[in-house]
Amino acid sequence: MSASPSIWLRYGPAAICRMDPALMEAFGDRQRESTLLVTTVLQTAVGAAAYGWVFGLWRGTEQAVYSAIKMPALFFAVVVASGILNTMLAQVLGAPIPLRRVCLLILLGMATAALILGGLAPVVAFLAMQAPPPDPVAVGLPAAHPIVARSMHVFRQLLILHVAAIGFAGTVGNYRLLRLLRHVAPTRALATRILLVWLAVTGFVGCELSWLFSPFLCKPNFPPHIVARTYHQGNFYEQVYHAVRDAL
Amino acid sequence: MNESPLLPPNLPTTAPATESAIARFAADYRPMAGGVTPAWVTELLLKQPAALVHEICENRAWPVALVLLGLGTVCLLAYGAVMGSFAGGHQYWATSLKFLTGTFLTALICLPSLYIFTCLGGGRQSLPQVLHLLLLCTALCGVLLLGFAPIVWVFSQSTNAVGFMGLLHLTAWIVAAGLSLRLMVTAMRFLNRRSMNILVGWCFIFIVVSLQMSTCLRPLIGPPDRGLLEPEKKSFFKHWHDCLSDCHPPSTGTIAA
Repeated sequence: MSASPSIWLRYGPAAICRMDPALMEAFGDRQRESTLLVTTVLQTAVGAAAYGWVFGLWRGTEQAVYSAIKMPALFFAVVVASGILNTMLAQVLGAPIPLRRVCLLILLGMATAALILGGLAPVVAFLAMQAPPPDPVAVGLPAAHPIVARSMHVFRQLLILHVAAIGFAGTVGNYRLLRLLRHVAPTRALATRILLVWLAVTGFVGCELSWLFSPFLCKPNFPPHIVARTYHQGNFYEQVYHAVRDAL
Repeated sequence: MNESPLLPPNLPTTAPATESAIARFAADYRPMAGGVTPAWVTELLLKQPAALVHEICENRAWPVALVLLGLGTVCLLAYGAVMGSFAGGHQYWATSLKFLTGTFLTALICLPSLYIFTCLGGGRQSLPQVLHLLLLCTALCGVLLLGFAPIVWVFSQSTNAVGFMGLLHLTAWIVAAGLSLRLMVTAMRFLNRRSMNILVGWCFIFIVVSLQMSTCLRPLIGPPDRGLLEPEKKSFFKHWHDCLSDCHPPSTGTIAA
């Protein structure tokens, strides 16, 4: 029990946000790496769940609970799905970083993003709760119906707010990841190259996974639900292709 | 392994004006002379806030925080009463309470993000220290608003235009909050010897939340025609747009601002 405060100080939210040297000292020591991994996972889970709750709050408690479960799950799924490929790519590029450390590095970047989102959660929750709530009559109506259109207007405004918050958190998280990579990679140029490759892989996987885990906010003409009913009908990139083709 | 520091860049990146503000702050950063009394704390808040920051960070944090809390409460209640004097009646106490609650709720909602942003900037303050600095900022805001109160009261007694009064209160709030937030950013820059530019982004969040809070607690200025709190939810953009587009000559001004 006496070790808890020091772990909290060494690997807690403040240490992760600042990227304290204590975090770097953990690399290479298997036991300290394990402790750091556990605390990072916990903090990512808490931060992402808090923001997930806020994400679904506009549609009611049921959607908030679903999103609070799905948001941390999405974060971890991205790490698991892209970890092996990211390790291979780092090794091919000239940085022999083991899989365990690659996952820890990506998780630390994600933990920073999750902690920022957790910190912003009360602000976004307040703004979401002050937005006009969705019209319950809209459930089941076609998207073009005027009642749905009114609620969709608020839906889009909130979506922009969430995208801005997540975009900001993600940018800062990746910037922190670059700093970590500069510490473990032989050169700064190589660290930047690895980050760009990892961003491409994680972004590619993340887009598809977030599409599979959607909805987080849930459109006003659908009842709150945990998994999209159309998830097996194509993928994220097919949807983008069809959207672009329709727009043209 | 590269041994470059992980923390954000140091102060030399800041502008000359910022450096002079920090130099002034540094000159005043010493233990507070005298007891922690409301009158003395008010004096220091306006003239030597660095001494209060010193107490918060190194000496008598909780006594100073309690006096700041009391000072902020009294000033915000008084300014709220002046704000309510436009409509009179129940609005004297209702606006007072709403203004006080709204300001402290805004600070509370923004506290977690302030702590995280401080850490992101490389700050080493603990959560209680960040809370106390935010309290200092809120108290200064209250004191400055109290300074605006006589001017605002004169206008509130001589016009019926809710839109005009709304803009006047908004201006007073922006000035008071802006100066208070500037103090906090300067204090953070001095305490951490870092640029802490990320806190400027947080200041924007604080202002947005405070504007939405004023919309949430409306009517603050006009008469409570539909109860002490308007049931309709809307964004502050829409609210201000509605207020300004419905701004009629004084005799017909009945919108709830």
